[in-house]
Amino acid sequence: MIVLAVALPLLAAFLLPLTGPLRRVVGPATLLLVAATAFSAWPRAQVEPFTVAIGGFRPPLGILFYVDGVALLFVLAAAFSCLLLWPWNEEAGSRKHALTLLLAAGCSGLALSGDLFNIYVFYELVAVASYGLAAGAGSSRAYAAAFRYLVLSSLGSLLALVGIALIYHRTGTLNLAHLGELAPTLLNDPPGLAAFLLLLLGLGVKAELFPVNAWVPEVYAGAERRVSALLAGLVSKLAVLVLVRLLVLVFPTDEARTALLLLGTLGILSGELAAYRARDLARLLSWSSIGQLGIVFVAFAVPGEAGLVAGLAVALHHLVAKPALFLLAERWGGSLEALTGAGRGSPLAGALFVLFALSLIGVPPLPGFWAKFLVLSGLAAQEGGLWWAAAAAILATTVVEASYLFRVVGRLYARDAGGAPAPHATGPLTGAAVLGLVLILGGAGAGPLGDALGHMAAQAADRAAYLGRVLPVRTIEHPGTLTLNAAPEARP
Amino acid sequence: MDALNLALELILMPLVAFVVGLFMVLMMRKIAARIQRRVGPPLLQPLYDIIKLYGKQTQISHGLVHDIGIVMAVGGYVAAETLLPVPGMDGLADRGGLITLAYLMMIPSLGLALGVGQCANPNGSIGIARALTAMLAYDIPFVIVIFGVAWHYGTTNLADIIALQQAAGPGGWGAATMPLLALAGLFSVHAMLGKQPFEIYVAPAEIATGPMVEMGGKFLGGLFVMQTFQFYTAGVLYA
Amino acid sequence: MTLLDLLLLLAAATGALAWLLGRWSGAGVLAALLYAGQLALLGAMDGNTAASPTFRVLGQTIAWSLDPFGRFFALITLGAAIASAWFMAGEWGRRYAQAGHSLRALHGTLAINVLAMLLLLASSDLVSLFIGWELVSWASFLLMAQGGGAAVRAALRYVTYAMGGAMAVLGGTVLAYAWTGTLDLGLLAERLPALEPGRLWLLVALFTGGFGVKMGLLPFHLWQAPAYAEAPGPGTAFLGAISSRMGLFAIALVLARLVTLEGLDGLQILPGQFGVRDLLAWVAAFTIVLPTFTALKQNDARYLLAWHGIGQGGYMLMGLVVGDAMGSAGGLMHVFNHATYQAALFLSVYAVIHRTGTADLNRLGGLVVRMPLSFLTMLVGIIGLAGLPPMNGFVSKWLIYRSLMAEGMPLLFVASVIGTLGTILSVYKLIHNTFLGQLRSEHEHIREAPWSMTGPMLALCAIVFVTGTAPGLVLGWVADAQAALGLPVLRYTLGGVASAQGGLDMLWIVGVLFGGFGVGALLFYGGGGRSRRVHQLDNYAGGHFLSADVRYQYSDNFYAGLMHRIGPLYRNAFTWLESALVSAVDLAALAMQGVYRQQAPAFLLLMTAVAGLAWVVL
Repeated sequence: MIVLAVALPLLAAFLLPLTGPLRRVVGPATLLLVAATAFSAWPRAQVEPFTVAIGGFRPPLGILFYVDGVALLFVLAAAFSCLLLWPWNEEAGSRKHALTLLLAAGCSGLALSGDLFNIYVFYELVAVASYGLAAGAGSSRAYAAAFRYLVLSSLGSLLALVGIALIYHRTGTLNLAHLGELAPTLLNDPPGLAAFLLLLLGLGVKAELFPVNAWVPEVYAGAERRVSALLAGLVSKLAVLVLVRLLVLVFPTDEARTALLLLGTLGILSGELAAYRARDLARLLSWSSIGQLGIVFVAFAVPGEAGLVAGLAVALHHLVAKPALFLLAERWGGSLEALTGAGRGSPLAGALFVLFALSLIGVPPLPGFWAKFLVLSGLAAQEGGLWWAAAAAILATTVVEASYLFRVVGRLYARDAGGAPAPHATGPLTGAAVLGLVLILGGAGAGPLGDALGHMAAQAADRAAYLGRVLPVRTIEHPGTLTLNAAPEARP
Repeated sequence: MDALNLALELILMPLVAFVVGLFMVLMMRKIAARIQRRVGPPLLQPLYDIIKLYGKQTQISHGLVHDIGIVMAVGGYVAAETLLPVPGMDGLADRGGLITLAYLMMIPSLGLALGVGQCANPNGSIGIARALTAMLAYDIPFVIVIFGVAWHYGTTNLADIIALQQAAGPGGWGAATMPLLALAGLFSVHAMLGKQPFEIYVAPAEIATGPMVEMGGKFLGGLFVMQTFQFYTAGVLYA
Repeated sequence: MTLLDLLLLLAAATGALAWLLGRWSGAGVLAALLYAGQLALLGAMDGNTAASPTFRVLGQTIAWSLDPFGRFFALITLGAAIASAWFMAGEWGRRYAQAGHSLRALHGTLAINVLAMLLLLASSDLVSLFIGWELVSWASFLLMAQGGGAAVRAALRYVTYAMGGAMAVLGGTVLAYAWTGTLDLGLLAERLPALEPGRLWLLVALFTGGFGVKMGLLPFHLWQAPAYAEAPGPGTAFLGAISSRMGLFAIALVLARLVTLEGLDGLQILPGQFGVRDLLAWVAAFTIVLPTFTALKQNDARYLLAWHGIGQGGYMLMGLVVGDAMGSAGGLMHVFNHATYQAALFLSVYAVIHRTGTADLNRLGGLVVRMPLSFLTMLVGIIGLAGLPPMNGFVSKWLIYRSLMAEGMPLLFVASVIGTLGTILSVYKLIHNTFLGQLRSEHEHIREAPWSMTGPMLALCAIVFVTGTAPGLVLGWVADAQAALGLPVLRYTLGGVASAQGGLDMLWIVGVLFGGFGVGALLFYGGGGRSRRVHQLDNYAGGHFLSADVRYQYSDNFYAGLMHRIGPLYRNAFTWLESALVSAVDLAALAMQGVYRQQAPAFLLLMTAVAGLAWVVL
């Protein structure tokens, strides 16, 4: 069943030109189906994660999907993000519709895949789709930025491929669970760490990891806001998810965490500080996005469940907040000075901007606060200068963040309006409003939401259970899981 | 009996202060005169001065605040007297203490400042600005003295302080045990009174500062200021 | 439904109603009545009142409950809100709306501020404290930014400071949580003092620094004066009266209740000589002296008062860290006193602005005859602010002085007295340049402010005077608050303090003071020739008669002689420090942008990969 989440959008993307009069609804309908699939698997995965072997081969020989709460969450996120940021105004069946569907398929695949080979394939799928989307604005600036992105991203893919090759060379397998089993003996040495670093840098290009994120501001400023929203909101998170799976299953070492922590901290500092001097809204949001992703990395670097919960919370929050902000920036392009009085011109947009800005800063009781609180308490619980330095960096840059975001807010509500930008089109505004509603609901239900995230994080952090479910025969640590997961689900 | 006693004290203490103050003013003028080889004024001259000022024909008031300022200036000192114990009479000393006294003594300055301000005379205002500046300067050593005394005796109750000093005999007097504080106190009290060399805000050399525009009642206030300040010297340093 | 539930619901309803009905002419009266209703609910409370809703987030219970300490601050908050709402209920509000401002937004934000403060005051764990803290910060930002223009710039500056403070608090919160495993204030009070000194130092520094930003403690005070002064009239009064006291509330909560005084005594810089309490007392002393003398230089009545507000906060902290019964009572009582006279002063300044259109001290003068009630308000207010008898400001300062004497801290004592003297100087400048001296000819036909404005002003005056005469009324609440904080409790009487080492009985002192005034009046009016009242514009100086068209008001550079001496001491060191910090951030930002603007990102990627591999291999 769950394989549909990947297969359907993939199929739809290629068959889109053939759908005739239905082509206007095919894309959204497909995405809704993906969401429905994920929902149907939700209750089962909440109780107990399960695996789906593709082609009927059992792991470690066959390739498989591992379905747990986190994976489903991101499949849902992919479906809804693409739905919300769907290119409604493009003519039906255009290239952009297909690319968006491809992106959705790639993202679902990344969330579900249980082996490195599949991960690489889906990663490339996402990359190709995003190149197309990034260049889609049609302006020469967008082309230049997209080309820069393409070069950097391909180089990153290459590094990642080298890393994968290294791992395969050492262990002879690409199945994550199998790797997890072998890692303590075969990968716990400098070459193993080197492989992790290569993967980190390679995947980090999409995850906006410092210092391989130099493409971000230009591409986000040049591409359509919708695409920027997708890249900043969705794609970056999926790349992070892959890294987290690697970190939890294959490389649960201190060195790997240190690398993540360091690069994350640098990302926070560089992103937020660069945003402080940004002269236009799109670049400001891009740099802010880099900073937020830095927080995500720092959070995931924290060992144990605490880190996973915190990282998930920040990632989800950013997944909601940043696309909304990019949608709001749709009409608010150009220099920041041009925004004078814009909030008075379109009150709803202004109010939404304030709401998301507050949440990004982490003002309680909005969800952004809980996310930041989780990260900080996770960091505070660790002993050691580097952890505290990261916490201090987050706290200090929050001040900078508040300063530049509210400089914009002040400008939005300034009185001396001389030609404020045109009001927003209904499409992006509705999208932002929906996300705003999600944000408020998330704030209101912070308690249950936190518990649910905790549950998912516990599932995802349970390394032994993962290995046990995927490789039931060899499992010795968790004999109890044998009976529950004896038979992998049949082919859909 | 107690209440009656207290009421009597409350009435007597300002009166005593007034009389002693008049006498002190007289002494000061006499001494100044003797130094300058003059005879100096007769015994009741300060009182005559006040009566003369009261009897003046032309009295100009610049409005209610002007009047109230004078009332505050005089009234503040009258009230302060009741907090200042003299031999045999404690008055309200145990209800206020040193700090209260020090702050109560700022009320007349404020009253005076308000009254002068209402006169809308720029020279008056300049005088007040100088007076307040001087107050900033002399009050700092003054409060240091207060602190020293209160810290030394472990209480802010003036009656207790006096009792403690009496018990210790001449060797235990403030001036003997704390000569530096006594000296500082002397200086600051001197400045408070506006005597040379701290007389800039009274500006005797300039034509018109506060006193010029005002009338007899004001002068009474001025005299009262002097008496009580002198009286105060005795209170803090030697009592 | 507990009383606290009702209180918070009513506060929320006030906000909603103020927003919905803000344009209706009776909105101000309604809002004042609703605040009064909240005050009545507050009065009905006793002991600890918990709110029934609690939340469990991340495995921690978040709850609210109001104890006598919080209630004391809530009382002041609501009082200030009543006065502010009443002030804008009539002509002031109409004029404000006519000028194109949104009265509805002003009413609404005021109500939100009150609600946020009540939530903060009722917090019973660190998370609810932080939530309340942030809500208060952002609510006051809303209030500050209403003015537009300069107000927005000041408010944005405030945001940066406030976030800096909030982040320090957040850091302290997560560290305290990590080290003690709890967020509950009751449990923290047991576990925090047992922490090792290094950790406790860090927590004390983070919390005091963070909360101190709101209080305007040095060196975090620069934002406050412009942010408060530029807010719309009653908003300024409200902010000036109570807003920054939330910082004191939180500092008192953390220092006195959580860390406890014994815990603080364990933190020594020079053992036995200079500890954290001395350090804080010195911070307080500098907070008293420097802003007060900055106030002295101001030429705008609003800024002058706002700077004094910062300075007066120093007295409160000073009293608190001295920590004995008298000092802490003085510090807490000063919160009440300051709120009353500061609100009165701001309202009187805004009454003058309402009539004359300016608060520039060089463009006013002689208004006493035209606006006698405003003058009276300001007179009572400045006597309170300067801390002279018979107003309430004297009593709290007396308590603080007294405790400094008892604890033997001469330098701090002198510093606080210097602050008081500086205050006297500058408030005299305020009242002289506004109400005394020459009446400007364009102000000759000005009328007194309407009753809707003088009403709250006079009511505040009455409070200032009555609580100065009978401080026992307030000291009762203060003593309860002390008990709730675990501080030594003051022995008070209706007239003041009973103490073997020198007490205070304001009933008697006020009595003799007015007796003295009576004698003075008797001497003045009873004896001598009758004085002749001359017209206000009938003046002469230096032998010349002065006419109204000649400006002779002495207002600019009022303390020329003093400034000649101390003028060079104003070095704007903090402003310099602030701009240096901003420049440093700017420079760092520029450098970081350089990273993202470089030409060959792929090169960087390869370099990083190589560096990473090198790290692995080595």
